[in-house]
Amino acid sequence: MWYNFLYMTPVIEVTDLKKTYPLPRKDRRKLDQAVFEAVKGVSFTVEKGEIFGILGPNGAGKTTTLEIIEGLKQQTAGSVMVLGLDNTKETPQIKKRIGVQLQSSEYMNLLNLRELLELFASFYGKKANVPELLGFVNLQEKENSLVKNLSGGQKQRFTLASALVNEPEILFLDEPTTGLDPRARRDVWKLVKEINARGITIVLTTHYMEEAEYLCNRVAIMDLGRILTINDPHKLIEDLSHTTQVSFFTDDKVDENFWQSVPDVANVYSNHPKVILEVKSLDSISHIVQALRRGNINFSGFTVKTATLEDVYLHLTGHSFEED
Amino acid sequence: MNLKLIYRNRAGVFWTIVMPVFIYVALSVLPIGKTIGAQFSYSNYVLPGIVAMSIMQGGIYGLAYWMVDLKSRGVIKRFLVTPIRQPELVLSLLCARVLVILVQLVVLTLVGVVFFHASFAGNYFSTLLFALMGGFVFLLFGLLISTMASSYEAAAPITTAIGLPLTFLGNLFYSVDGLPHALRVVAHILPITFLADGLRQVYLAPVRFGAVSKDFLYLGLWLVAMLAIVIWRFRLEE
Repeated sequence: MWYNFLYMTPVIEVTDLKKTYPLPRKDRRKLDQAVFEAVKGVSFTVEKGEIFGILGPNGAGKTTTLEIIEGLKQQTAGSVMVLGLDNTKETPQIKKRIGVQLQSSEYMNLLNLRELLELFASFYGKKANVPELLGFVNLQEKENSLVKNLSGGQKQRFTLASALVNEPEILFLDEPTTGLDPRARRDVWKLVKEINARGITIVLTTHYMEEAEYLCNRVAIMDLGRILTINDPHKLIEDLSHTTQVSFFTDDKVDENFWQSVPDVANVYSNHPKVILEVKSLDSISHIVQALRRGNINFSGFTVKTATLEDVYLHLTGHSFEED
Repeated sequence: MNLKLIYRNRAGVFWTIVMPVFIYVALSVLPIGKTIGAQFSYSNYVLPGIVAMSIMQGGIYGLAYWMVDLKSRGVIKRFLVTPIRQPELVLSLLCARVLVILVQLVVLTLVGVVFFHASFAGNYFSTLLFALMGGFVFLLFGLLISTMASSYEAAAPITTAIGLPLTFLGNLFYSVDGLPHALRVVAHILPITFLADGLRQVYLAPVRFGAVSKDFLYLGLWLVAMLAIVIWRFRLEE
């Protein structure tokens, strides 16, 4: 990729990472195994300055992977290097240089925002620049409010601020926009981009395709404890050969062979009354329309859809995203 | 250490301090006391008991519920992604609680002395030492409960199961000498008994250290035992 020369230094190197949890006794007999493998041998590197996404459904092992890198959990096997430091031996040094936003954004109930930021800064032996931090996430007038009186979006912006108190080199975001309304989500995205523009490397997990597509320079698609692919999200979509889907409704019976004469139609899914065609190029759309005219076929609801990460995911895992 | 900001629960502090005071006032005003020995008034007798009770409750109930709440909401986890070390974090949580316990002690004693002419014989050092030792014994109880229980619902029966016998067999409101033999045996090994007895002696008359050394000793044994169990079993995370 053209920007590869910009970040050549890996800040995180994960090699063959495995994490197993012991199963409760009753599940052991039922499943005939003693442990549950949450992460089954995962390798990737994160380059300095990029936004790296781990995309996958709930239970894919995203959070476990992240928590091992952050030093909250120990791996069963494999190695993790963060900023050149070993995650099992140099955890405190790593923690000083990273910022973390966890999935739940809960704090002490009765401390206000300023006090919380000061408290967290004190854990790093630093003084918090409260006006700057709160100003950055646009919460300066909430300085004296309690977290429980913030809206979901405000709360999430505050957790971003609290993850920045130690001026981290890498910021970890675990599902930063889950449960937020579209506007609040966009606010968080804007902030993430701004943080990244300051040169902070960002690693985030998400189960929103759109989020990964919009924010990430590279995404790792994860399912059932394994990484299926890692690439630029746009590249992933491009690589999916059947990039464009044409669909329409028709009451007329159309023989599958009918489409063989139409150039560039790669695949046909005829599910009466809906017909879905996968086409290789946009030129084929006019061919399809012409063919339909020629064949005197009535059709309605003609739609052209380009592939999304969701299609990539479907293609890789063979199951749709929401099923889980 | 970072204890200065960790604890600020206005409503909580209010109730942990007001409730024991209220119980004390009620017990002192009601005529129960008259039936007890002639030597001291009941308000005099019961004050150190209430102090011991609030120390126990501050340790067991206060800490266990607080920790379980912080744990179940993921606040502890949020702390653990910062460079703060686990022992440091636990210690600062304990210190915050000890501060509350000491405030309770001062308020209760002041109320007793000012309004009910209860005696406070004035050995600050012994009083403080008893409060700290007792406080830590029960705080360690609280830590263990927070390890066992992952939710408030799970913590409630455990704290009650431990707290109730301590309250009723602990020499707090009446002398355990009146209890049936079996209960008396149990009562005489509970940490609360030593705490209440020690505090009572210190409060009622100026005593030399020797007189309460037995209470110190047993409380100290409890402290060591609890510390050992905590080091062995206590986990901050699940």
